[in-house]
Amino acid sequence: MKIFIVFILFCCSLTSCIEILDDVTYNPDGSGEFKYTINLSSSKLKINSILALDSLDGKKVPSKLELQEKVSDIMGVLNCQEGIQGVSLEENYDNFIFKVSLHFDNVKSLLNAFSKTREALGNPSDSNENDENWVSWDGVTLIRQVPDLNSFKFRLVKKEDEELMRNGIYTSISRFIFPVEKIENPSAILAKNNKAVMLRSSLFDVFGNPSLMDNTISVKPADN
Amino acid sequence: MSISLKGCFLTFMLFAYSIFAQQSEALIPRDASTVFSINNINLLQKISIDELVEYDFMEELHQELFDGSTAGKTLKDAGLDFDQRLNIFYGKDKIYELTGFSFGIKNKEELFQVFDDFEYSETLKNGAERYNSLFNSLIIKGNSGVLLRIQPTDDYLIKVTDSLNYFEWEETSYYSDDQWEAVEVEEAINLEEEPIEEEEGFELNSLNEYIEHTEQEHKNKKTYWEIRDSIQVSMQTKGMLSLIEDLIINENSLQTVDKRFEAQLAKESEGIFFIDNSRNFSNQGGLWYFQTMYPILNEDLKELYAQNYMVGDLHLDSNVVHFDLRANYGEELGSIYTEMNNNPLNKDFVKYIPRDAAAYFVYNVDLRKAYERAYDILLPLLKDKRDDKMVMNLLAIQLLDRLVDKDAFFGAYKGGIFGTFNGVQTILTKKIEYDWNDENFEYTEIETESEEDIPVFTIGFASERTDLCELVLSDLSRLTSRIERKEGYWVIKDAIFDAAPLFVVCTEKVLLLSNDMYLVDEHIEGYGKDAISKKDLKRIKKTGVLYANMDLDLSINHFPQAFLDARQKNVLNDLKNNSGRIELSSSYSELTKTDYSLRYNFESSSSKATQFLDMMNAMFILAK
Repeated sequence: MKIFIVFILFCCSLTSCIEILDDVTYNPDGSGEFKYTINLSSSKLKINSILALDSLDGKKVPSKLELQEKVSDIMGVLNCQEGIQGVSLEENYDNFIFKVSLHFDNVKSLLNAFSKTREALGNPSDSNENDENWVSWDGVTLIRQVPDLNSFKFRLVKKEDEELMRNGIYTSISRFIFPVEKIENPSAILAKNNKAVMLRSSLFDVFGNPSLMDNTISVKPADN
Repeated sequence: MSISLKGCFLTFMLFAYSIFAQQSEALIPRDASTVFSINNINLLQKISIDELVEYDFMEELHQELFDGSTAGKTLKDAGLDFDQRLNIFYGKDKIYELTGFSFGIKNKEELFQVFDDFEYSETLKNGAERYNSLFNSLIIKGNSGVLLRIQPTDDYLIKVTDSLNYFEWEETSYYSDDQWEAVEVEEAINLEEEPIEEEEGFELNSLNEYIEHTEQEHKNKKTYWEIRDSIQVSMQTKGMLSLIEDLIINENSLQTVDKRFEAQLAKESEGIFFIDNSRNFSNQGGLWYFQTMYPILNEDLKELYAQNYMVGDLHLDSNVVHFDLRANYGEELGSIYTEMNNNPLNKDFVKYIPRDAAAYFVYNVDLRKAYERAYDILLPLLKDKRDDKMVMNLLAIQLLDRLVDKDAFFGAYKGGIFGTFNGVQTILTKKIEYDWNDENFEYTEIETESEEDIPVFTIGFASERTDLCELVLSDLSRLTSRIERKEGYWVIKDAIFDAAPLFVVCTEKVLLLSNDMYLVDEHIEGYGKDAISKKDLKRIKKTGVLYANMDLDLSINHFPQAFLDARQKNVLNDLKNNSGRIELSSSYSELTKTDYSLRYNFESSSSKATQFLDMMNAMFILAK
């Protein structure tokens, strides 16, 4: 009977999806603003059903409180990093939307902050140098990849997760003060004001081939 | 004359051999509390060994067999004797866990091509040969063999290791569950070593010697895990020796010591099983509190369970696996069961079971009657005890019995329950999307509707006081807008995972919880002609306490495995990808037994043998 009740209560949709949005503004002096949003609102039935469990696939399912603590730890570490200010977090547990935003003095500080945070959380980086240096910006040219998604990769391996990713979307926006002069990735779209570039792809494709989101963008400084 | 005598002697010898020859069932240890025995192993001749070792009952042997030596081989190629039974057994007490299987051997050479990790160890004093691998022992006695694995239970092993109190001061490295990656744990340990006191004549040399000595001592210390492994290996060796002595040398098998099991072996069904609940009872993890706090009471309850065992026969017809199970118990326990289980079918249940339900069950118990009977039986048992905790506990039980209005209590919750699974339906939930401004790619969040599939279910509880539920919901609805009264039912918005509504229907005899909109809109008084057929109803009426019916296509195959524990998942995996129906029913309980029957009508392209093994494996996992 217990199995039956578990069955009927915990059935869930396989058509849910995840939406990831990174939105970075790059100032001419090298500083900028980083915003990262994970939107799981269309999977909330699934997430709520998972959170109702003690364990999943033999692993403990964290409670909302534990999730909050973990996120708070990340914020704490990020806040302490040199060249990083105004770290803020918006958590919406009704719709499962999480937004992080911060200001950075230069992209080196940003990269360093991510690396330190990962180390402080006990996940020493095993990624290669390219993953560590996913963005460079000299005030004129931006060379970027997607931030390290590899850490997710190992956990999303089941068929069900695959389906979840196929329906998921990764959106990357790069904003500039000056107009964009050149974009290398042909899939990228330029905003009408010529100051923002957007790249969108399915999460599945991004996980499979992260280079899809690679882009090199050059802007035209005012004094040129 | 002499020829005739020789002939008689030869005939006698052949007869004696056939009667007294060692059979595989004689190699089942008496400590086995769960045994599955396959009689018609001819059926399994074509099963590949690789397929066989995938089953859970072969789990312990995986390391031995799944190493390439079995590739492309069937059981027939493994030198097994198909005229003997294949017996799989499991047993557990507080100290050891035992698993293994015994079988007939026709060709030893072929057998060792499969069991190629086993090396000859010794010939025992009665001529049996012992072979060892890393974890297991294989004993060959006559034309039968038994593969044994014994290991200390985790609880006992931890208890013994911890009792050494060896590591208080040490840094411990242990392994995370996730990746078995060594994690160094920095423990805040106060080294409570004796301070070196400056004595008269204290010299620098003696300090150096002390440091050297301490360093050496630390080097010689083993880690917690090394010590634990050593204890485990030592216990395994000791346990195996004692098991071999008892089973092989002294010939104390389950068959020789337990007549009930011997009787079961005489059955001619394709498979039999035997579960001794009286021994399983003391191993129930859920009873730890009881066992710790009230050891005397626990012993009394063990007495109550002493005659509690289950036997089953597995039959295989053309497309039906039929499983007959008999639960045996003592008269005292039986008198509680008969009161609890033998009740007429609650008619208000069946009118809410739709004809096309993918799965449904009816569990028809009367807790009031069971309570009264249990009270009458258990109280005298416990009254003799002088233990202060027991006395206080009994006093509380008796006071509650007198103070609580049992009519009201058991009227509100009678114990009977039914459930239906009516398939999957798509519901609309809200999600957040982004509305993009093409000018600058700024965005705003907008709420849109998203489709999600959700299982449709109804659970009903027998109750004569559904007015109490009405009362609670009515009062709570004044506090929150999520609870709302509708025509004939209540709706609790977003009750299911904050996304889907739950409907509560309070009828005179049943309290219904459902997320089936169709039920509350169209069938709040019952499904009428769309309810289960008269034929099905007749069948349910004939059964005792339990009836369940499940369409594999519509239910099991859509079961969301991610939400199940490993054991439940294994059971489902075994039944997955098959189609057909499973029907489980029970007879009326008698004073010493209740019969259960499980029929599995399969329509599958896989072989009979696979279906048979699937079902047997599911039983094994549930019984383990």
